[in-house]
Amino acid sequence: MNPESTPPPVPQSPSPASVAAPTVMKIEPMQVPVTFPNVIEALLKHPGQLIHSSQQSGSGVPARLALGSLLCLTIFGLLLGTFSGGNQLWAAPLKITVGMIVAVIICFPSLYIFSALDGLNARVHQIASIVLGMVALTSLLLLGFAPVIWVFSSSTDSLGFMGFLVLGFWIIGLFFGTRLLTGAVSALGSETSGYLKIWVAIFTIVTLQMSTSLRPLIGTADTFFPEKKKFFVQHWLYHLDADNPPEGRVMKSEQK
Amino acid sequence: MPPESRHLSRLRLLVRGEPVGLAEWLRQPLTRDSLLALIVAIIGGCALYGFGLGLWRAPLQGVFVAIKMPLLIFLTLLVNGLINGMLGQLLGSGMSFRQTVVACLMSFAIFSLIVGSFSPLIIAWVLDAPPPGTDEGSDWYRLFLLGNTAVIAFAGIVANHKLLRLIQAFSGDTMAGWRTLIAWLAGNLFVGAQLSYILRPFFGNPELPVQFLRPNPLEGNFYEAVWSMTHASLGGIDVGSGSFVVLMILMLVIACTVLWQISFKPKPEPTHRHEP
Repeated sequence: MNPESTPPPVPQSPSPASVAAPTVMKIEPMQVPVTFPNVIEALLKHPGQLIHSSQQSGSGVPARLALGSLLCLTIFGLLLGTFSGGNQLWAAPLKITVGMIVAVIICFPSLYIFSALDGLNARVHQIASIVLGMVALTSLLLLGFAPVIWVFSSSTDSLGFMGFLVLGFWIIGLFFGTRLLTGAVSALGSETSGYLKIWVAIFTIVTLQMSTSLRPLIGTADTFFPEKKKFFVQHWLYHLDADNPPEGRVMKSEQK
Repeated sequence: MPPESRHLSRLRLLVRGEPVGLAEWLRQPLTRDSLLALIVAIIGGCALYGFGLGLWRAPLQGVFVAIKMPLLIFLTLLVNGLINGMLGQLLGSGMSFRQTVVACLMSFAIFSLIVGSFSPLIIAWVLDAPPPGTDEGSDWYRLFLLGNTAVIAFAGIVANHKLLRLIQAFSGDTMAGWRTLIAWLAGNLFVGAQLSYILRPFFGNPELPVQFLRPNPLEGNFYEAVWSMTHASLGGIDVGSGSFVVLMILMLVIACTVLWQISFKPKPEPTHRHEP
């Protein structure tokens, strides 16, 4: 604590904490013990350290990332479920978590191939650790948005508003997650990134479709899974038309 | 001349907004003392200003608003604290979660000190105003709203400018400062607007009773209310209709574009970077 009335001058060279995040990701060992808070900090500041640690056998980083992702998605889903309450309190977190896992599993083979097309010479477990980092960062950001979701879910009845709010947060989370992915792939020696960008678009579409296939994530329905299969664009267009009756939609005022 | 107290010197530093000094304050370990100066500045400044806002409607409304204004700031920080901390680290501010919260508190404290300094003017203006419920009162009320909007906008711009310089000084990176500020500002405005909607009334409509909160404060949201008002003034689109959804999509596209821009601006390599 500085007892002077005016603070001392700042040294010319910035402290380590103040150095800006580098543009190009560095794949380097973690300098600190692998604890949950350190993993979260590294995920936000130095994701390259996590990628490095994930690739070392016996490291606790992948387990912490996976557990953290599950926890973040569950809490996010739970707060989203408070919009409708009832069964959605457990259905929404379950659907969001399962949806993300399924999306990652079905997109993983294409990611491996597309990264190879971009000139990356990596093994499956290396790509897996990068995907784990991407999912963990996306989930962490969704957890960060969860209090905002709760504030709006407790004060609005509009499914449309909540839908677009969640979509916006989902896109922001995915944006930073896929930025980690492209940065890590580039740092591991990929020559180009064109195919990877196509994969990012595919993954985004898959997660959006997942939200339709597992609907409702917001609102309620009589059945756990939807009775009609729909493409997400078709589903959105259906709701764009104000004349269409809502699908399994129950307003809070009606519940009361 | 007696030496100035630590709290006073901190408040002076805040108002000067000297980025290097504030960055140093941020690097120091957090103590109850340093936190107290910020909290007192926010409560004192906002409470005084809030009292002036509500006073015209009724002294009791002034007391209510004096409680609600600091509450609004702390609730905004509470709701956004987690995501602000994450975005700050992702966008290269170099700040930890704790430092993010303190930096935001500093910015809100500067805002509060500015609006607080206007409170004697506002109170004097209110004491010289025609009473509510008269024609002159209605005209005056509109002017009062406009004047206070200007005061709040001015304080907000100054506080955010100081925050920008603080982040830039802390991170040593101009672009990281801009990126972080835009991300924090967008989040704080988005959530702050909804929380102020929940905590309404602030100015106190003369046609409505004096209340701490309106009945059913958690019904509806700020953005739907703005849309409804816009709709009413333009005449005829329903909330939840296609137009509402199209507008939301448009806003989403704009947000994505801004996100893309702030994230992919090339930034100069610091000349004295070193590994921790």
